[in-house]
Amino acid sequence: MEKALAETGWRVMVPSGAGRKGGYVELRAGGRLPRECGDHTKPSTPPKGLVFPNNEELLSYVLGVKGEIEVGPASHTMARTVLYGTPPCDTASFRALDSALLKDMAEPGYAGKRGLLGVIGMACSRAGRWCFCTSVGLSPRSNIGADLMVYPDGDDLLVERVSDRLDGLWKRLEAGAAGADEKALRAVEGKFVPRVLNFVFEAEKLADALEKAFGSPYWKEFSERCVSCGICTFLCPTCHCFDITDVAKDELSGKRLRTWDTCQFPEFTGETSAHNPRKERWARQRQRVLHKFLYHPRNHGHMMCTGCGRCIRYCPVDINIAEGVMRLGGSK
Amino acid sequence: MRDYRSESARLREIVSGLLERGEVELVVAWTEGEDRPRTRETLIGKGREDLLRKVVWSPFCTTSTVTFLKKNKAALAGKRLGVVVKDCDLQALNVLLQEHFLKREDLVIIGVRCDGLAEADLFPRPEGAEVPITSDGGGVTVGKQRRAWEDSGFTTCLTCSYEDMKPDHVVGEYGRKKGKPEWGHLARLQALEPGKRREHYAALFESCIRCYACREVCPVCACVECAIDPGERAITPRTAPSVKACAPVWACRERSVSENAVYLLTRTMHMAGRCVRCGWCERACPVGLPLMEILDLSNDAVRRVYRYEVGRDPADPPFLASYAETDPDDKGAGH
Repeated sequence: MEKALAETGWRVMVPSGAGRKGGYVELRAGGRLPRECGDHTKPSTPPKGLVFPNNEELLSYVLGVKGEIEVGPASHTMARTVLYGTPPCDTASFRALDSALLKDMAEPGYAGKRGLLGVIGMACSRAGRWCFCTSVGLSPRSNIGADLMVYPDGDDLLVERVSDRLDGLWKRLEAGAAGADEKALRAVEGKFVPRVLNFVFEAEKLADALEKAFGSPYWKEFSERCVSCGICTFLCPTCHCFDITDVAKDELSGKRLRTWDTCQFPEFTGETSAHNPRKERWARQRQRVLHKFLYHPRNHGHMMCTGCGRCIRYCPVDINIAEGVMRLGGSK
Repeated sequence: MRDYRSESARLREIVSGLLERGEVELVVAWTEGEDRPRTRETLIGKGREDLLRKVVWSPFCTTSTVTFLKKNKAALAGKRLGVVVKDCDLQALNVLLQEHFLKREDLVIIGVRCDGLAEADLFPRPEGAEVPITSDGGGVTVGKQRRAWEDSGFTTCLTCSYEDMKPDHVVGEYGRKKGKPEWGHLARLQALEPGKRREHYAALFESCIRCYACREVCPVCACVECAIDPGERAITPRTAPSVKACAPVWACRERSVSENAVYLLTRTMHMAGRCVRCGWCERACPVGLPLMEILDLSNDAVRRVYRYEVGRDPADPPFLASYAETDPDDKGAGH
């Protein structure tokens, strides 16, 4: 795999392996690919920033001497990139991002980069304390969102072709006889056993239950200690809200920037009149939960949560989305 | 050796007594959550036996009840409150009291004497509620798992020297000698040549994702409208459009070394004489920025140059609102 990937000349991004705080980093020339994946290798920042950067220039402008405005073209491109070794939760995040930013009306900034990204997911061998992928319709071996899926098997690596987007690489691998037949794949798949979790969300039932719970007093208790920072959403692999600001360099030139925004900031829904429909923290937390488990599933047929557990793990005040969802509409 | 189960029981007695006797309407305390030994701040009213039962005090009470007061200030206004604080929370509370952000007469302060904190996530989840949590001079123990204080994830606690706790009620006795406020990283950074130092800070500023967790978790970062990037604007329907249009933007939304530096360094300057070195900002930072390295630049000046001890007593004047004739910066100012 290392050889085949090196031959393509593509940029390869892998989990930094830092476990706690870090991101996906570029694999150095000659570097080794990760051999396993699990909660202990999952970086704190998800891979979405590759195709949905926190800081993206949408256009630049210069005002000419005669008053004409020259608008610089936006660059919606990046080096051809392969993400390697993403756990199934991060792999599946691309399904949610695609459905929001690509499906009905392709967003050029995202689409341009997404077209240059290949995803090689890896079956996950270690669930963490905050993982709940099996509750949201995924599993440690699900290949949703992947183009190729790899299953570590001792010193071997079984590869499954999921889409045709990385066929160039796939053909090189086949030539090296690394491809897996169905039978071998099924045999090794069994090793990646989902951890039995004590809660299960059934998408449709959950959406109905949450809709009924819109006026529940529990939202206030759920969010009374929320500090309204951006951790849960900025670290979420599927959250994709943004803000657009014009940044003037001087009186004659500047640029238009897109940066991550979050429903947890009060100003997110602030209106110029000073009215704010989500002034209270509980209303903002409710929006976060309902977007993931009610609105997005109704619109796109899958939950906008991959159970990666980052928002629980890194929340500074121990707000637990799984606990909240269980309380309002889950079943044991 | 300290046994936090018995100290928690004592704390529950005090809290329930205050509520029963009607001395307070509500109490802000830590309770055990879903994810032991993690704890969370909780608002407890009379009759909430379900919550009262979970009230806890341990080295895993790592969040600040004062941040909770700050965040719920409007909702709690005019109510008589009990608040459980550890040493650094009390220092932060003193800062807010000095600045008249809160009123002392509205509060009944229950102090828990703290020997240091430990990161809950470094310990395995204790099976069952009966697993003892203890500590001594050397470290923290949960069941069979023991970690030294130096190895428990809280560097700021190792240099905490605050012992002036004078709350209304107190739980526990110190079981460990307090540290000395010596911060090694400053000497190390100041020894770097300017170019290297610049590289060091540039790398630090570059990684910031501007989630503002550091500002939001901070117990004393209490401005309604932050000067840097207001998450909340102090405007009303009567605010004139010209005022809104002319609101200064000190750091724009761009995530770049220079804009992030404006945010992080301005925060550092605003925190001079207010930062109690609880270290929560650094622990909360999701990208692992060593924020105390920046904050200690001003903390060090406050402590060494001005010999001011932050949040020692609510009657002390605030650092930036006090003047001493011995002020070393006042030489040659025309006096």
